[in-house]
Amino acid sequence: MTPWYQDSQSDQSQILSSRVRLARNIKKYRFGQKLTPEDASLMVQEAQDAVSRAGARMFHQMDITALGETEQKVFIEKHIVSPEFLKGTLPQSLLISDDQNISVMLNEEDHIRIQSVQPGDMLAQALEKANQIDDLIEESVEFAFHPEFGYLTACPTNTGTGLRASFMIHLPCLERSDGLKKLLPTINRVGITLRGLYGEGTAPMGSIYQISNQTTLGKSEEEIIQGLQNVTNTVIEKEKSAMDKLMSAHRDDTENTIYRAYGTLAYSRKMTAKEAMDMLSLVRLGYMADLLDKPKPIKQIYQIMMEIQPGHLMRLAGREMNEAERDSARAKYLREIFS
Amino acid sequence: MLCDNCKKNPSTVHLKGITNGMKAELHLCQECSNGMANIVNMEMPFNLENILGNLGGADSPISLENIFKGILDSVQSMGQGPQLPNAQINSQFKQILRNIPGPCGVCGLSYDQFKTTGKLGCEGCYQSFPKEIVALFKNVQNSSRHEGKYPKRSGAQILQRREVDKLRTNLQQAVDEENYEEAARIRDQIRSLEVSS
Repeated sequence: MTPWYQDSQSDQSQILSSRVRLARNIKKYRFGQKLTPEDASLMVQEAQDAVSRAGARMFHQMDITALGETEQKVFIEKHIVSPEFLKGTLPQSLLISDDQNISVMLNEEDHIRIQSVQPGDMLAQALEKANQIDDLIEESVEFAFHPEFGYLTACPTNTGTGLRASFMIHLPCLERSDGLKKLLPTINRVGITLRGLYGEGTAPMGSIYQISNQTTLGKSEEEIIQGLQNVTNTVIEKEKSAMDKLMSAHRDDTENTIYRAYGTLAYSRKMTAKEAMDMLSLVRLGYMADLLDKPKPIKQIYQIMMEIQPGHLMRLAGREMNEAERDSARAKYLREIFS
Repeated sequence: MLCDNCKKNPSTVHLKGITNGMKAELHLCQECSNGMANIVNMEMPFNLENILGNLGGADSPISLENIFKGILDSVQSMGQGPQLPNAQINSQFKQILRNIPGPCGVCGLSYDQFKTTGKLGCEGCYQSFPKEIVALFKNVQNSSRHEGKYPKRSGAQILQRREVDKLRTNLQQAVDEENYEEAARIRDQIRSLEVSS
């Protein structure tokens, strides 16, 4: 299989990807903040052995702390590891599948964090894959589990299922029409939250959002993902009707904006990440609304969005670059795709 | 008996109350109880005698815990704690006043540390701060009960708990419908499940 962002299913609807994370801790070790370096090392080894037994051929192990800063950035931009994980000072490890769609962080906030991503609207499949890994790991380690509270995690906001399910969604029209702000309180009331692309506190870029469950107790995993699916469907319906409204009321203006965005991507000599994200978002909308009569680029739009981030650009160039150098490299990369 | 606070002087003031069905006691010397009475007088429209008078009555809504909580709330609402007349009020006394649980017996994480970072230190913390954690669950999660998957090795126990829960709901329904024959049958089923555990 290919990484999810190379799959054409990530570019066919407002839902780019479906993601599931399971948090687990090994019973005999303390949680992160009270873990001694010796125990951390033992814990990581034990968890690593368990994962290897579970899917020896499936994963390869990476010492991410040994990587250079640029490579580390690439992993964050791909959402494979969290920035918190890289800040860790105790022994840790990353296990990753060949297609990068399943990864296991060892010794992040919890001992074990299993992550599974699928392109497009495939949350149930993402959960199924995460569950398989979870079951296999459990065959050789005992998890911290309480009959009443469920899986015990370092942060009580994850206790229970330890499940965080999310969709990455593209909402250019709702964002413009202010409809998003109106939706937020309703979404929050049912235990669902909407955040920017790179998580909590980050500004949304390219109108891409993450919608995810807040609560992990009182509902089964299936009920949690069904609830998230229902709310997301409603949000997508609103996005579509905002798009229809935009097309019927301001078709000419919208067409103009989208073609200008395409032109900017095809001919610019310098571009900031923010501008590039905004332009790519408009072009994605153009294809979605059937407004843009241009052949689709060979890469999926989200893949391009990821590859214009600082880490990816510097890895491509094979050297460190300052902001001005990156802006030029970004524009060059985009010209090659769009012109 | 020595004072629970200073552990030096003999205790002369004895507070007793029922908190969540548990007996709670606080024995203070005259000096330390004056400290407490001062807070009470400063912050509340009643004095220590009235509080003591209210305690112990079977249907009294005022529990020792509530009094301490009330004191804590008023102390905290001042922005900073009141200057106490003597320096005898040590952290343990403050802890009793503020109704704060002691540190986790397994990993040593203090409740304050947990409140600051939002993160627990070990599995044992869930047992060390049980009331606080359940309250937090109910607040942010709307539930404190896991309904999801479980490790196979603890499977039997969980399955049985869920079965008993389901039967209890059925039992209540049967009682509501005045179907006592069915209710008795379900009750026996619950009993046999509970005996086998």
